[in-house]
Amino acid sequence: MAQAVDELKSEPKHPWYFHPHFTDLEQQYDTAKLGMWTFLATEILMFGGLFVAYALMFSMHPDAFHAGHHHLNVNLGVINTAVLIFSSLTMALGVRAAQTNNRKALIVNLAITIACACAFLVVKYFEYSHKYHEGLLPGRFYTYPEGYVPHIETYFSLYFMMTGLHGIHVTVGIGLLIWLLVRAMKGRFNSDYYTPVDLVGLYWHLVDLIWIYLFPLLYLVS
Amino acid sequence: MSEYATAHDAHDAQHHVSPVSLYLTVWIGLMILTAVTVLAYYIPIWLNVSLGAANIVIAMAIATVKASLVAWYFMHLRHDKKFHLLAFLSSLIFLGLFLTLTLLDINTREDQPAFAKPSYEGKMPASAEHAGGEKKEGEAKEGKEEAKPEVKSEAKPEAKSEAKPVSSVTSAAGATKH
Repeated sequence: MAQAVDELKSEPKHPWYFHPHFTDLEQQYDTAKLGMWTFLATEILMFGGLFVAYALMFSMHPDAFHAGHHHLNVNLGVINTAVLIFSSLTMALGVRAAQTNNRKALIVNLAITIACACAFLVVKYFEYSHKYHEGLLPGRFYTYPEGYVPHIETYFSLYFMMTGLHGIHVTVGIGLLIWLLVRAMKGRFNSDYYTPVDLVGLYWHLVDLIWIYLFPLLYLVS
Repeated sequence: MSEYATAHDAHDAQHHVSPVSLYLTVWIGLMILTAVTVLAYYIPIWLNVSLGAANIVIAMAIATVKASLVAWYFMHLRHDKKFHLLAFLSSLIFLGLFLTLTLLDINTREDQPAFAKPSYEGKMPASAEHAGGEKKEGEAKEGKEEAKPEVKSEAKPEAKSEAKPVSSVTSAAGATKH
């Protein structure tokens, strides 16, 4: 009886983050990472549909796209680009902090990344509300009175679809980053186990990467 | 033993810790390239020069360099398994196929597709909304008829590219005869 209890007590030979159906921690890490890269590939294909739609509509109505982009504020676009690239830097530094067992740096970097993501959404909110009040809206909801160019509403359909889908990704990213922050404060990550930090990092960099293309396509049409 | 050693090497490579200075350098590079993108947009406007299609090519080229920097250094593809790079690139290859084939199709058509001429051609969409559904259909037909000469003039510069698929079609027809 006493022996059985001892066996039960000594049962968890592995750290809590190791799932025993894997051969070892390395295989567990590889599996997660391959899954994440596959997911990122599907993400690119999902945004890809919108990029193809953009290319198609732009090739058919270049004048409408040129007229449409004048309603966008390039300064706000530049600010958001800088904010997102900076958040990508802090995310990369956060992963590095997890790799080097630097819990404090991990928490600080995650917090800065979350702050940047929120700043991005605040700027986006001001841009959206401005367009909503001016009537610069997709399809038949377009009611801006001056300088109408045929198909300009198509530009705004694509603008709202592309930045909207991207904004949803940023919002999801904030949720994931908060989850990471809470777990980091509980000390759940170390140099042997930082898979969630790494994978959310990959996701966050992809969100940045897509914005790198969206910015010139939507704000700098000429 | 040797097998274990190679597995361990792979482990080290995958969990490679890059120096902070590298991340900062990449970040500065990304910021400079962002500035270059914005300048490439404003300089032709200031100089009152039209670069035409070259403008979007330049913007996309810079964006691709930036995206590569992010993927290579921030996303650790440099030290990652090459299979992950393959997964990433394969999605880009298929996106490229999607894009080129769609654009080839649309740019080599003699007639623009019907959906390019919606019912509110040349008018505010809000005014089209006030009209009834039946009237809309009538407008759409009129719009198409009126639009025809416009379409022809649009298609003119693409006359060269139009010739290509015709020849390829005839050659394909010849091939099937054999």
